[in-house]
Amino acid sequence: MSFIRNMLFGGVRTSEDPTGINGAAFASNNVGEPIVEGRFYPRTLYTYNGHDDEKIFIAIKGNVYDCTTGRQFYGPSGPYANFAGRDASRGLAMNSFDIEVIRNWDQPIDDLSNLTAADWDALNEWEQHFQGKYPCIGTLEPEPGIND
Amino acid sequence: MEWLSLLVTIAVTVIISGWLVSNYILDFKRDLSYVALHEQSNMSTVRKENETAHYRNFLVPSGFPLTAGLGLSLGYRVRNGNFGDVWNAVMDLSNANSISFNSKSYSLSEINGMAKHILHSCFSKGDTAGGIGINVSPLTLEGFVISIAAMMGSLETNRVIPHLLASIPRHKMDTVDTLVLDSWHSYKMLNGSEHFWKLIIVCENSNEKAPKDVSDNVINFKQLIEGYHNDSDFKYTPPTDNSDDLKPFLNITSQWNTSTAFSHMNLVSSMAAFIKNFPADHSLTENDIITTLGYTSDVDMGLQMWCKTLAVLLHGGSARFLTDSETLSPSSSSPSKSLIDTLKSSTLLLIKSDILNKITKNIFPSQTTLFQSVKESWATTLLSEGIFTKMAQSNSNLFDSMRCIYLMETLVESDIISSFHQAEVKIPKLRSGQLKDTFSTTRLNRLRANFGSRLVVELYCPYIVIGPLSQTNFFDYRVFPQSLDTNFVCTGALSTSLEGKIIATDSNPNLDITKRQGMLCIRGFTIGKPIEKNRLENAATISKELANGEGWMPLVGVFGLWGQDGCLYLYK
Repeated sequence: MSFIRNMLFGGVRTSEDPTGINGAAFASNNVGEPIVEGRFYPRTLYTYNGHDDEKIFIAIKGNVYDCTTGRQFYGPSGPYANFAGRDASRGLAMNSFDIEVIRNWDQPIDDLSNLTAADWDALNEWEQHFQGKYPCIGTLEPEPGIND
Repeated sequence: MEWLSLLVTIAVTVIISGWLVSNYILDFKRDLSYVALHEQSNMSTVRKENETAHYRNFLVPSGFPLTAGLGLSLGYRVRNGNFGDVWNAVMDLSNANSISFNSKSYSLSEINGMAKHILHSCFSKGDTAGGIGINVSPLTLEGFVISIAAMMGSLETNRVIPHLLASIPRHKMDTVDTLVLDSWHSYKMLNGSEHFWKLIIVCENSNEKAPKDVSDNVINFKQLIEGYHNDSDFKYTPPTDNSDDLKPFLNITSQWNTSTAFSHMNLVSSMAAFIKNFPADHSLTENDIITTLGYTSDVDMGLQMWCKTLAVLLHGGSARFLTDSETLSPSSSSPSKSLIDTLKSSTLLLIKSDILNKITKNIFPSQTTLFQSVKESWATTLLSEGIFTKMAQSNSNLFDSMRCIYLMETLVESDIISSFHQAEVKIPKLRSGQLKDTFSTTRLNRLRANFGSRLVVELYCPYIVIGPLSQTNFFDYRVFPQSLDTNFVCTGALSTSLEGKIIATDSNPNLDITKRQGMLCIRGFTIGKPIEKNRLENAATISKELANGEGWMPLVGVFGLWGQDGCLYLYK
């Protein structure tokens, strides 16, 4: 109706205020707020597995990468879906996508102590690949009382 | 009771038709849906603590590369391209198109003939091969042709390069050995420094005003092009290693005596971003004619106009330049004939906000007929709904062919940004006046209605970035609430060659980073590189200290916020 009123009496349709300065809500916006970079615990990292949260974060050698854009690989039902939201270091090093090489959030963080030289080479290569492709957004640290 | 049922029937019909129109019919008629207008950028999913997320134009999602060139093929590889590829294609397509300067028209074969003649007879000769200091505006024939000649030369030899100068240099410049001046009056201002230069070209063809004791190394433009032939041929073969794409393309020295270098990649990136921004069914064609209105004293315009002009020529279109004072600062209340004649056939217009402000007062009379006022009111209502209409075009048929106006909003304090003065990294407090001659969204829609043309607002950072930092959508005719219009200018989504973020600053604690407010930083392919060694080092330090390095350039003193629609809003 406002359109007909505007046509008759010379008004214009005023768009929503996207700046949010006056506290007005922007109804059309349903995009989540960006996450602040920082420290992740295995427990907090696990949320970002592409299923519970749309975003997909993967930890390699203590650094967390945002792999959301690689959803076709790491997203639910993707070939590497097991890595999403977890520490993928051992899996990448041993070239295994099995769930056995990945630790649960309530287990201690894998110290990778028994990897062979060839495994380390493979892992370093993967790390370089991730560094080139995805933004590093923080670090993975053991949560006191849970991952000790 | 019959009249009552009639009244009820009419009321119900009006309400239902009103509801149908607002909810369905208008949706079909809109150029762009509100959903698209409300999501004009992609942003990264994470941010650093004192920064916003990284923002990019919707056309270049995160994970995809920014627009870095024209995407030409070299065998099975893709290359960015350079000025040589562009001019080669321009000359291949040249036929009926032309370039005119203040209503005097030249065919492209004339321009190409002159430029090649200058290059081979003068610039690439051993004794004068070096930087070409150009103190004449490229918006004039002389400046344009000499710049084109030097750009051709920049690919042939590493030494020839056009160097736009805001003023006559007071000291000898190591990288420049040919100086181009606009008049004998400027020549007299050399004041004994003629011997600094191997060659001085004066672009005033009459020798009447020449001083008696002219030095031996001085020629005028007429002598320079003597013996040229029309030539519609320009062949460029790229080397297999793409090395030409990174060669220097143009240098520019601002009035604050800071110099910036642009490479061929900067040029083609900004051209590609411009071309990419046209929506489907509205892309550039050979029928396009771009008119640039600008002052000859505006050196930055001599840099910014290249990407749009070359992009239009690349599609077989024509270019026009208007610089005469009668057009830009009219003495009478009616617009100049040359302005009317030029605008009549133009399809695109590139203009700075202060000039548009002046000329619209003359073009559109303040007193109009009642019928025109009603049409204007309808048109602005429809525009605010997102529906484009030409119904309120003033001076009937005058702007029939005009399809888009590019309104250049230029950052006022770009000297602070370009100084990169590390010792004084004291970020200024936000104060009003970041842009001058800004337009409210209501006024922009009135201009769209009167011209019967789209209007795109572009944000420029003079001397440092070639092409716009950001631009509003071709189909964005939103009218914002007055509270927004009085405090902010919407400058649209970032160019597809750039990405941006906003950072928190100590000097402005009232700007809340969680609400995406703060100081703007950019990185991408259209940013020039400081020539002076200390400025280059300072730029690197500033980038590291303020914006965490990684190639980010903080625009010191430029404050704004990201709207929830993905557009950049600058504080007025």
